[in-house]
Amino acid sequence: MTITVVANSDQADLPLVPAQNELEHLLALAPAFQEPTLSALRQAAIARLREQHLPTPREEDWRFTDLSRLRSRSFQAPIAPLAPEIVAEVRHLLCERAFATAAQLVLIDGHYCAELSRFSSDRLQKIPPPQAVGSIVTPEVFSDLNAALLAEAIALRVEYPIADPIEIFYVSSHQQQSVVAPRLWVEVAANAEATLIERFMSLTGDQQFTNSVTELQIAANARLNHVRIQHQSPTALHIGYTAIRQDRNSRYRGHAIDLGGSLSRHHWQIQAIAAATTTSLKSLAIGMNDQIVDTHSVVLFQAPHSRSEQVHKCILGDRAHGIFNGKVIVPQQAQLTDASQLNRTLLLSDKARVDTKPQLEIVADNVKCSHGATVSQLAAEDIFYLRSRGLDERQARDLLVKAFALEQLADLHPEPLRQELEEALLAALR
Amino acid sequence: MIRPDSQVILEVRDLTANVEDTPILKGLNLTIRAGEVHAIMGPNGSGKSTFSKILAGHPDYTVTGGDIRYKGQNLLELPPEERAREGVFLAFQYPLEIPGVSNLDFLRVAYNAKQKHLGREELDAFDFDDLVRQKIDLVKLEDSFLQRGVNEGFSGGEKKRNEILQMALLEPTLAILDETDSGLDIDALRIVASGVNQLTTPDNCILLITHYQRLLDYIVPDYVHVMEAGRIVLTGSKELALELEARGYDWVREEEVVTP
Repeated sequence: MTITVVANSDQADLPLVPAQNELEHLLALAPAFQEPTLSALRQAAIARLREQHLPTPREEDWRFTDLSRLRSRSFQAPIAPLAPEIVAEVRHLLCERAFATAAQLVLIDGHYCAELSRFSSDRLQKIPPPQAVGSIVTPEVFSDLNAALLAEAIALRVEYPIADPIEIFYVSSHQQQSVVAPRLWVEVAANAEATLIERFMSLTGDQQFTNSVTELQIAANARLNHVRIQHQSPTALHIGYTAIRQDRNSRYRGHAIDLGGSLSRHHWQIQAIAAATTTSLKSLAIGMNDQIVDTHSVVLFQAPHSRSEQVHKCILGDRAHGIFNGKVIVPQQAQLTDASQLNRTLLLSDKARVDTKPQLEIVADNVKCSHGATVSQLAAEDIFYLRSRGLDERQARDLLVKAFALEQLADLHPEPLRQELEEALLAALR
Repeated sequence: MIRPDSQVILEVRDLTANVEDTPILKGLNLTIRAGEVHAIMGPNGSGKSTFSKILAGHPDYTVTGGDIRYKGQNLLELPPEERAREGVFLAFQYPLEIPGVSNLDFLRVAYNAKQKHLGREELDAFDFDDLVRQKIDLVKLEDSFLQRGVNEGFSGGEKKRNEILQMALLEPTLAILDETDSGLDIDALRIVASGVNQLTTPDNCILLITHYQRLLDYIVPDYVHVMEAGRIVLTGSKELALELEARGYDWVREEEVVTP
């Protein structure tokens, strides 16, 4: 078991890997078709990437995240999308939805599948991708790669409050070892309210690299509940970026669950551009076998009187490696900010490892901010207590791990989704 | 209730045990028959709690000699969960909090583990709900305690009452109450004691571990044992507890020196 809580960055001497050609290789896969409105975004991204390389541990943001599983794969250009047999397999995967939705959108290998998608509410529109796409993200290698490899972007506008969730499925097929670059833009208009569920899934045997970007723009007084579930194949690679911009008095409540992928990283960025925003971030990452699960978050306050509350939990077994890096930035103008952040890790094996780095950058002087990190194993006394009530050791451990995990789902809606996730979590922990 | 012909439930012979490498129990003998209530008293560090944990199978204690027979079988061979399913119950001095697991779910899992072991029908959520609502009156807990996490945010008294609720559901043959009176105000003590008394039958037996005589006003023991330095050094009737309360433990030590 290795636990590192990093206070400051002392960098080891690491060899510089000339990695330019790796990016060239990926850029060569860019599809021909492109949304005309997004060509400027794409060109700028390509130009930046020509000057860059895949991150190495020398870069602070990638210090603990070993990308060799990405480096060691060679990717092919995607073949013609949406072969009928793949669509049939995806249809089978999505059968039986347990709750009503305002819309169900399906992207297969990054391509919108009209056949499996449907809209059930006129309060929601699919719009042509606006010029603003790309404006919420802070450009870095993987968001640029997404822009460069973008086949099409999905843009939605929520004009009025919608009760039923909008559910979006990103399914990676097993037809090729290629890079899937889905991009979603959602704008929630002033005073509107919606629930957005994003689910990253795989057909069995998926070996693709999913490199997603989601941008959520929440206007004044609007509310967005967001559930992001990454449950891809154990062989899949996943690097996702969720960028949120919150206007005055808006509320964002996010749940992020990471269960799948050989290597997964979720970068969660919240920018509060006006006063009195409310943000709640609850995430859970489960790593078993030799999975690498990484969560990076940035909460940036640019105006006074906002609040954020964040709890990230990590459960690591076998030889899994978990990484958490959470930044909360409170500049001078963000007086009266109330921000809390907590990272709790449960290690289930001696060989599991976690690197956790909570960071507060506070300039404003009249704020209430807290952060913390705990790393623990199951307590022998807890296990004995349960065994003394007739549970065997396995049942006792399962119950305690389940309790640790399920706390993160307690306020997740809709209820059938919470139940489905509960089962998926328990299966992942087995 | 003493009936000399009733079944021997627990027989402990020459028990010695260590924590890490320190000997704690040094030749303990005790026999408990069905229907009996025994109290073990003694100063801090005499080994009372160690004994209760060994009976429940706590892995931190190593038995180095002697044996424990429970209903005729070798108790030390059984893992803690099998002891529980066979009817050994330890009410903890400090019950643990398990946030995230609802008390109701926990009680049902424990109840069904025993039912399954005994080849009886396991109860589904609805039937169990009915059962638990009958039992909960015994300890005067509100139904809302069932929805909360196990012992999460419970007061000391509520935790102890929750232990007795577990006892009521699991219907043990041998119930060991480890300092169940500690930290209880007089009202909570009465509730706990009355709960325990209602659970006493001619077929089960109770072992009370306590510092103070106070509990024994409410749960009247058939035997009182004094434990000292890892052994039972004196056994008497309930009057012995009163004498201990009045005179302290020192005279027991002195007596022990003169008695061969």
